[in-house]
Amino acid sequence: MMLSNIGYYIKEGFNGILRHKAMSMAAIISIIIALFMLGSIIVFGLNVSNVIGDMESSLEVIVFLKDDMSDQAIERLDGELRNMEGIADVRYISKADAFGKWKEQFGDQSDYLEGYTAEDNPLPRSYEVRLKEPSYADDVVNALNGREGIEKVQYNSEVADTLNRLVTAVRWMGLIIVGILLVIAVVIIMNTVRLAVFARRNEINIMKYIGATNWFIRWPFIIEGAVIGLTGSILSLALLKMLYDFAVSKLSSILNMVNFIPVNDAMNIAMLIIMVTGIVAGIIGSAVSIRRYLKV
Amino acid sequence: MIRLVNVSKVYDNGVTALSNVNINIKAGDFVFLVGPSGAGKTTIIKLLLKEIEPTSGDIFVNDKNVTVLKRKEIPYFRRNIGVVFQDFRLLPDRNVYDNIAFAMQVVGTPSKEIRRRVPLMLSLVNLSSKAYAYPNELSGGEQQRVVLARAIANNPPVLIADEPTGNLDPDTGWDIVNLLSEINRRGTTVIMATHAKEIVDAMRKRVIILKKGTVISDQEKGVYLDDVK
Ligand SMILES: Nc1ncnc2c1ncn2[C@@H]1O[C@H](COP(=O)(O)OP(=O)(O)OP(=O)(O)O)[C@@H](O)[C@H]1O
Ligand SMILES: [Mg+2]
Repeated sequence: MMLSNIGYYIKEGFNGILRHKAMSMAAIISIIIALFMLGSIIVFGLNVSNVIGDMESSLEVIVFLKDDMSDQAIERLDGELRNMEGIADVRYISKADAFGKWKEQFGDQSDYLEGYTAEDNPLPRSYEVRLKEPSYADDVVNALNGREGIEKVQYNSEVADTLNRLVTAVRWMGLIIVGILLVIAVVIIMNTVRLAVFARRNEINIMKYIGATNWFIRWPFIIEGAVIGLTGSILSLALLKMLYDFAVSKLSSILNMVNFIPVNDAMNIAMLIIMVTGIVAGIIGSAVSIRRYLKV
Repeated sequence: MIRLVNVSKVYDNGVTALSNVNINIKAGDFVFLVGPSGAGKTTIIKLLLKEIEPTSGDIFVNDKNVTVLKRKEIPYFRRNIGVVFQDFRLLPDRNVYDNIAFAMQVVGTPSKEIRRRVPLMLSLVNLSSKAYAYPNELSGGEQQRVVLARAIANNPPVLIADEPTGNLDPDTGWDIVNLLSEINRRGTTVIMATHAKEIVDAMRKRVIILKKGTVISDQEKGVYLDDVK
């Protein structure tokens, strides 16, 4: 690429868009549609896996301690727990904590703790252990079960298994759908650019007769493809953001247990994929479709 | 300057367009290429532009053997040849000025030089007042004059015109031929394929007559032989 021509290429790239307004509009609109579909699925998938993630992380391994366990033994267990693989967070619940929690949860509805104090009550001390992933549950439970000083290890493995399978399924489905949509988006974008190039094959032909090198002809088209791809992706992102904002505000009250991903976080992830797809497909589309007209 | 040595062309479909053609054109010549439809005139022009390859024989332009030219060299080779077609072939989305400027941008002319030279070209073809008109706002003759201006914008040593007056009325056609003649007088070699008998007969330039792919006559100050029509 002749350096002195960069200005010309960029100018011609933009001129190409402005001179063929209808063509450029059609290209941008189909890019918006393709990328919007892609973005919607990405944002939807992110939310679904977020919800499942929330449910997963609320599943904890609870380790109840015997009342006669010594402070040193507890300290040792504490250290071991914190170094155990797959553990995200460990919380010690003292008798007082347990007492407080009970009161908070049941208040006056239960008289089970009547006459007891925070320091002296029948509730066991315990550890609440949050796992990084439910798949670590078996190992953690097995390592703790039956150990000295431990009364009981509690974990709801059935729910965890179901969630685990669900999350795997959702991830795969999401990947497959995004993959398919990605291909569709790329094909749509490339096809549109191909049409735009086809409409200008005479122009390319004339350039060849005048003695333009292939790269001299190609660069403005590539820049044009990139600009159209970028414009389309920015507009589809704006549209996606608007509709997502709207959907969240409408749905939050209905689905109040669902924790929607904040619009900006969702857009950040979708943005990368959308922009890269738009620009790359625009560039490749114009570079590929121009090839056959250069063979004169 | 331009030489065709034992050139034959058989198209992929088996049609023999040229058989054993020998032509030698000196620098500064003005040559008419005539002959009935299908004689092979356009085929010769396409060979000179290296748009197609000869089946056998050698072609030299500016003493360069065109047949051995690499694909990458073709654009640079074509810059030595201005081309004019029957169907004008202007870029429809640019005005007259930009169409001419474009040919100069292609070869990397600095924009200052372009701004200086385009008006000169426009005045040469008498279109200074139409600089900002678009091709579809011009008559056929005007469009062809723009094409001429574009073809010589880079000062090519050779100008090739394939039936440049084919779509024009006789008067307008004469404008074009007079311009070609003027360009030739300034030193450019001009090759013009045509069916316009009146023009060929009046100009008294070199006339090469083709028939069924062979040269049947090649005369200085020639005329359009009626019996080949
Ligand atoms: N691309 C092609 N493929 C196959 N045959 C071709 C092709 N182009 C031309 N021909 C054939 O080659 C022969 C010469 O064609 P050419 O176009 O050179 O004639 P011409 O002298 O320019 O005719 P005209 O005066 O009508 O323009 C014709 O028989 C034509 O049908
Ligand atoms: Mg012809």
